[in-house]
Amino acid sequence: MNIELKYTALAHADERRVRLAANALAAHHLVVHASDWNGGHCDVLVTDSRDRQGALALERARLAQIPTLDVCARDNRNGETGASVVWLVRSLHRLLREQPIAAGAEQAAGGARRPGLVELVIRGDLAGQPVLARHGSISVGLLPRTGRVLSHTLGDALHARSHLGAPGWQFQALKDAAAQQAPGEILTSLDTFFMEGAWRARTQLPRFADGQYRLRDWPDLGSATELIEVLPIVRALLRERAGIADIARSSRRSEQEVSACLWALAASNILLGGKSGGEYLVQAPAPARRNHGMWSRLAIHFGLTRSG
Amino acid sequence: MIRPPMEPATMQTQDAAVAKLVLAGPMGAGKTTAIRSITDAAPVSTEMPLSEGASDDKDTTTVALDFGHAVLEDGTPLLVYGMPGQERFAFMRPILLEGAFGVVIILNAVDEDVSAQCEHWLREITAIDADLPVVIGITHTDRSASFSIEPVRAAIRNSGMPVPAFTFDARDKQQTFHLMRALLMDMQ
Repeated sequence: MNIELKYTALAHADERRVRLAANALAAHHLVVHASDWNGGHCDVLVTDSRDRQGALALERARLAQIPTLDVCARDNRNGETGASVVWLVRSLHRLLREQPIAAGAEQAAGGARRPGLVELVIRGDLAGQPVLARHGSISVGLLPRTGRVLSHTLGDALHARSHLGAPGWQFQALKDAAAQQAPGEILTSLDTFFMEGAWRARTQLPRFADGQYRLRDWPDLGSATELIEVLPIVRALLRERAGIADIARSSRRSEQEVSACLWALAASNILLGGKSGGEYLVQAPAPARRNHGMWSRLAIHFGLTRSG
Repeated sequence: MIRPPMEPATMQTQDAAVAKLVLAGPMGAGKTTAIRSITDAAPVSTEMPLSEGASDDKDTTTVALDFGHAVLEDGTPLLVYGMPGQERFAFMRPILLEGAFGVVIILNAVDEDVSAQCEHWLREITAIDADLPVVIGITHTDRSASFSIEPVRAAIRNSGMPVPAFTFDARDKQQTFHLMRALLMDMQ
């Protein structure tokens, strides 16, 4: 059986051991081709979760349902100094025996069958990159570095947004120079585009991978005036690192709605997995500022809550 | 023509039955327009013709303050003040912020260094009252093809004051209200 093994964020010594282990798997009648991961599909991904990039790769691979091997896994006794070849061979053999390996053609077809938003998120090679997104005859430029969507017409942007939960999308990373010439001149907010699309498609999207999540920044939802329900979810993600069920509880929204928001925020590239850290979390305002009666009256006036 | 800004009695914002909101930001960002969207009425303005930098779009500027008011469902007055953008009126800022429940900083996407403006206004506000809830609204993004929200986010992170930042159209009542919702959500 031919196996595509990919690795990323490994120390040089670990990378060499992974290559050796891949060759050694021939003893189990497995032909394993090991190479650097570009974010695409593969049969197994080996990485190191102690590395921030490795932790992100693990999250992305889990979303894409790619089997993963973490070289600092608990059962790796040699974990402090790296993975031994023996441990790698044993672990990879066990993993490949347990996981059904999909043929490459099937994987590619799977990508076309997935909702566009999901495909965009799990394609690690597109993360944070300017992307030309095509759906039928419609194309839009997704520009995460500026937080904008470019389209020929407002109608194109609305069509694209409405179909983010549908399959049949094609995505192509753009070089920076090409991004300047992405389709059209109509600019809208990327965060609003993804959030409105995800919210509309929330019943079609699969559940986001379980994990601990938080937000790096407030998403730009200035024109998402219909999505008042999203604001408590965003606030919860800014205040604490939490799983889907906890966020749903604290924001009083359903897990399906939280999951849809996570797909949108991951596409916007502002969602952080729980293992990476360093950035601040939003602090609750000082108690002296809280005046619940006044807050409630203002919330009713501005349409955040209803009276009665 | 300078019009009288308000009746002295409306300044009594220490009264818990009055809600006071302040809009801050550089000249020409859209504070006066946003007040109109929040209050549904033309604000009382102290606008004067611009001696420099006038354009087809803008030939006057606020020299002391703008003022508008709305009434909440239970009859509580909502007083909305617009700070003058020019630095020579900086002395007005602590006076206007006294008793406010929050501040909306309005930035202009067309400004060459909108992130520097963001840092400046966050610093100005926190120097007067570090606990005051703040939200940032960025206008005119449709007029700036090169606008990027990332430098604004970086400025917010640098300030250590993680506030919401939305792009919005100050002429649009719903978008201006949505900015207010983000402010309230951040206060909750």
